[in-house]
Amino acid sequence: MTRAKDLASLSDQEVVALARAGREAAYRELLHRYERPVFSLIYRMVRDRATSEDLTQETFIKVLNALESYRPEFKFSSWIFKIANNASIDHLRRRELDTLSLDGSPDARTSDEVQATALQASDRGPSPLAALESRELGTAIEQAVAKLRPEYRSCILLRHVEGRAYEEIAEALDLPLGTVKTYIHRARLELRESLAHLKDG
Amino acid sequence: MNDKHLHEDELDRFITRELSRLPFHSPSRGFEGRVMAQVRLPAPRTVVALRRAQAWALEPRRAFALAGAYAACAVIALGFAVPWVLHHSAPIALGLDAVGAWFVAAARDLGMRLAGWVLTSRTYETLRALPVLREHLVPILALVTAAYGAAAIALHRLLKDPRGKHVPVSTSL
Repeated sequence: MTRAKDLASLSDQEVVALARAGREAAYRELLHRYERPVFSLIYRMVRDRATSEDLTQETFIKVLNALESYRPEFKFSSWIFKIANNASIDHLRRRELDTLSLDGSPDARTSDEVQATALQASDRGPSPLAALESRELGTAIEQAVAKLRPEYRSCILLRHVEGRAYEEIAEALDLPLGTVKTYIHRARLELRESLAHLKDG
Repeated sequence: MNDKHLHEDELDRFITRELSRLPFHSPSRGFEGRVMAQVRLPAPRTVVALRRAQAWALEPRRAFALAGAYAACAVIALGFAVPWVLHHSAPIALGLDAVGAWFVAAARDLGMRLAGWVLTSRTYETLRALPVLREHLVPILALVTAAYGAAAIALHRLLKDPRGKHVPVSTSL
């Protein structure tokens, strides 16, 4: 019997094989591995915590209930990111949210909801001043990313936040490799324009 | 490389670095449980194979064919078994006698050991030493009988559905 500790050392494909054999612990291991990356991607795409939770949950339920149809010659991460990205894009299309509010979710109605759904930057600096600068920088980056077109946004997030290879992004987003490179290049140009003032400062 | 290009390269590196430093966000507590509640875990392969075999066999025409084959096998086996038993009745009877005798001897031996263990136990000695008067015997027997009766009723109630009615079970997430 493979224990949870042992599962952590297995590859995605091996864990999927165990899950297909009916091992509940393998399902939980896949959830542990991908809940944060998938949630972060969706959250940065839709900018609303409750919606992101729903979409992340929907993604995992879809993926875990369709493990039988997963083809091991592809990367599991590409497959799950593809489903997560499709869920986010579908939601954005439904809501017509191609341009997103910088201060909070467009779904928010009250000021509390606006505050609650605004992107949170991490606290990384050791001193209060550095923390403030860091938070401002993080927020500025998040805001610049939020301004990008959804296709550019998913490409740049998968490339630089998730650290995925171009080929994997192409596989995940069902795009030709050249298109992925173009999107990332354009996204960088737009980010450069949006963030130029930070570097000058 | 001119100053503008240098500036753009620096800005690119800065953006790449800052993007890689963006924090991961986590879903709220209980997320895993909410997902797992809606995931259909596949049955183990043996169960799946058994269900498939069951579904295959329960198809009406196959079921009739299987039942017919089973009946034919039983009749043929019986046809061979009866003459064989009749032909070998003497050694079979002898064998059964031997097995029966062995079981009786084993049961008697077990009974004797149990009785010996009870009679030599301290509990038995203590109970035997208790001063029980003849007039106390009837109330004690009545008490023991009542206790057994109460225990039987309690056990019956415990094993029965609560009040014999259907009780709805709430399944909150």
